[in-house]
Amino acid sequence: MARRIATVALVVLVGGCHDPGAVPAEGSSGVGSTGTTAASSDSTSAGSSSGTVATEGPDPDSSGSGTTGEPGWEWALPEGFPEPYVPPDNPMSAAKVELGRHLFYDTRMSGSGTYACATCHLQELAFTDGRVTAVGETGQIHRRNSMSLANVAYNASLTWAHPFLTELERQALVPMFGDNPIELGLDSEAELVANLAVEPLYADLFAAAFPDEAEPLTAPNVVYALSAFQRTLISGRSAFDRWFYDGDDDAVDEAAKRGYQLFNSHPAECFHCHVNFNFTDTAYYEGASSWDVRFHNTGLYNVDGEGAYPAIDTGLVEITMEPGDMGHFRVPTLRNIAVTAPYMHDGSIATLGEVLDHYAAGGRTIADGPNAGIGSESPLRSSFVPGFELDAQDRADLLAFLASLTDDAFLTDPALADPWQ
Amino acid sequence: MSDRSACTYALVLGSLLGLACGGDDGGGQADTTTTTEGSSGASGDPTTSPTTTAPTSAESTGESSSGVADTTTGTSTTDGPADSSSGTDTGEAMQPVSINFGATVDGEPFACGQSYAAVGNPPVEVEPMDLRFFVQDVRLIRADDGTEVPVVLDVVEPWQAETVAMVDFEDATGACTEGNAETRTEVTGVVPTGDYDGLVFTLGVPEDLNHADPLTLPPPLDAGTMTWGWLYGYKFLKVELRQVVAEGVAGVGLLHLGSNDCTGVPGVDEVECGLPNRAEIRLEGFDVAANTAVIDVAALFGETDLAVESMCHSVGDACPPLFDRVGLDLDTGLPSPTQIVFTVE
Ligand code: HEC
Ligand code: HEC
Repeated sequence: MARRIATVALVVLVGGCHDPGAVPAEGSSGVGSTGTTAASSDSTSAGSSSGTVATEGPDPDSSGSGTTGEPGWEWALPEGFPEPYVPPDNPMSAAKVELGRHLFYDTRMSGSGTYACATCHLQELAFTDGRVTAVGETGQIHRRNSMSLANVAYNASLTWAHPFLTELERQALVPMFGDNPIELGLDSEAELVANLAVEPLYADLFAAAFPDEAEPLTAPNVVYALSAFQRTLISGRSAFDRWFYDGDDDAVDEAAKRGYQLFNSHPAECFHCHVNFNFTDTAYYEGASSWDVRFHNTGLYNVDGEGAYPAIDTGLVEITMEPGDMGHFRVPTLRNIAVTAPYMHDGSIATLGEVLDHYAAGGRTIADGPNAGIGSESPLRSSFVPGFELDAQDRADLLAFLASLTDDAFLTDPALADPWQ
Repeated sequence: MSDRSACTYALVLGSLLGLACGGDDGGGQADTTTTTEGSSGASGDPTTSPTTTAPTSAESTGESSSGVADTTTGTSTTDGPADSSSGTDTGEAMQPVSINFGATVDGEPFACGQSYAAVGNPPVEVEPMDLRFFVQDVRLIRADDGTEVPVVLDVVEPWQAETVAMVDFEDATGACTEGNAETRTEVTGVVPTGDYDGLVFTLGVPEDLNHADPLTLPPPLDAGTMTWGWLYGYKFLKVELRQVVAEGVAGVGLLHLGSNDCTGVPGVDEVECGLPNRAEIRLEGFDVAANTAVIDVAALFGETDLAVESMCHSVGDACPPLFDRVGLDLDTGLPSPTQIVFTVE
């Protein structure tokens, strides 16, 4: 097991990257062992104790490249990125991805014909929507902030706090058919198929994507295609990547380099949770040693002095019903973070500067109103959010680093854009 | 706690590889279709295997009842059904039954598009938005010795599969917008010929189907507004009312009943739910030829303030009276003898 982790670390992190001299030992030791670090010292977070102990990796011979797509499928991955995991029943193909792109942007995907996935997931905002929380097809307000779909293929668990929604294929049913809140407002598979059948283009697109099927326009195939498209939403060509992975020293300025160093230092501790190529500790891919699903409480709220979050959204505890899981959320990627404001599961932080204030304070203090409370005094807050001094220079450096994660090629890539325009 | 978490969140890759070989995307399904796996061999196409299962048993209920019995055995909460239904294999005479369901609001017929003057506490005017439920483990009670005899369900697209049936009072009129025009107010099947004077059924979807991928299941379990993506299961019972107001914000009464406190990745792990939330409805003195099992929505919301948002998604402040009245213990998710919403008429 240990040897396998070491191998993975080598491939994922060391492969092709130049050492900026800023990564602390734990950070650079890779997927598996970083997990171990987090697990041992952050045991209040439900998921954190899980991962690395748990599972044997796949047999190296039976996985790896070539298994995730149909013949002719090639991943075009940035340096440092492992091959995404693809469920065996939905191999990648270019035709499926193209169909999925059409569906993702198609308002026929909704009950009223006015809403698409892309209504809440806009490419220029790294597939977020700029709102505090999402608004569904019927105007119903979602309690949560629309998530970035950048590198969603690598997320070992999906949505802000769900340990058991792990596959895009399964997650898609939530926006499509969910009624609390209504997102796309579809009532049935039959309605979906009838909506799509009126578009002549789909006859060819479905036939090309599912060539072995006599009647390929089905709800399962819609979900397969949407998922295949989402797996191509890969962002790893930011200025940071050009510096860190490609070795171009001029790609980012000195401020960003210092910021990255701070990010990876004590007591800022960001790297414990925002780690590896996707800046999250909940990543999974071909050849990963284990499927780690982790959640943390960052002290964003403490409404009762015992760590409670506002009743409208208590995070992981809603699913697990373990009191200690109160306020635990999945670590979101930080890629393109400068364009995905507002921040956090409920969009309650408007700017990156205020996010830094939250962490520097060791948890946010809300002075008054129904959510008043001192986050830094929450007994459930992760020990990796201890609070730290943040002078003007540090702040500017951290912000410069975070801004260097914006991947303009991703935000404007025509292959990911609306095909109906 | 960390021990529990370790098992809970550790998603075993080994089983994923198993999944690759098993070839479909639902551990649940794999169970369900065990009996036909050999013949269907449809592992490459998860969408077809369950559907091919259903017609097989529809063709000849008598002959395929062993398949049905197998499935029932796996999921049944009582010993009775399995034994009795294997009895049906041995050529016992069977009779068709049609169990009628009805719905009322304080005694008035339930209808989308109608309004009802005084429902809830304090009483306010409301209109229906939805009323649908699934039943499983349908049994009749023998008049002579009180034993429970399972009803072997007909397979009736789109309402009934082998082990589960849908009852649907939502007709897409008025404030009812999440279903379709069709309604279904009966559950049909066969039982051994005999005298029966009681009805027992469970509000639920059998455990082996509840966490399967709905996109791979035939109606009535196909994906839609009775599927519960978030809890990766089904809404066993969906009742929604809306306050009628001239202006301002309308109150809501909502009960979505489904299994909760579940662990396990659907399609990968065995999913186990700490709170099954399957109510068992027992109606003594029910003559299947003459009576109707009637759900009264006003009785369900009898203690609920419908002038505000009173929503119970199987968890939440609005739940205690609703669970109590439908016959469920909120703390254990197990049936309790407190149900008052279903009666014999
Ligand atoms: C009404 C706005 C809205 C629509 C429409 C919508 N989403 Fe989302 N999406 C959200 C929100 C809000 C979240 C966070 C949900 C949560 O945590 O409970 C989310 C989360 C996700 C995630 C999880 C991302 C992650 O990193 O875990 C995926 C994947 C996703 N959406 C895909 C889709 C797809 C595919 C569609 C179309 C079928 C879609 N969304 C339609 C708002 C929307
Ligand atoms: C204990 C783990 C942990 C540590 C340490 C941590 N984060 Fe986070 N981070 C999270 C989690 C979990 C969230 C989501 C929290 C929520 O929504 O309630 C988050 C959210 C964020 C967001 C908002 C992301 C979005 O899409 O809304 C930013 C930005 C961020 N963190 C930056 C940082 C920085 C900078 C540091 C170091 C100063 C840091 N984080 C340290 C776990 C962590």
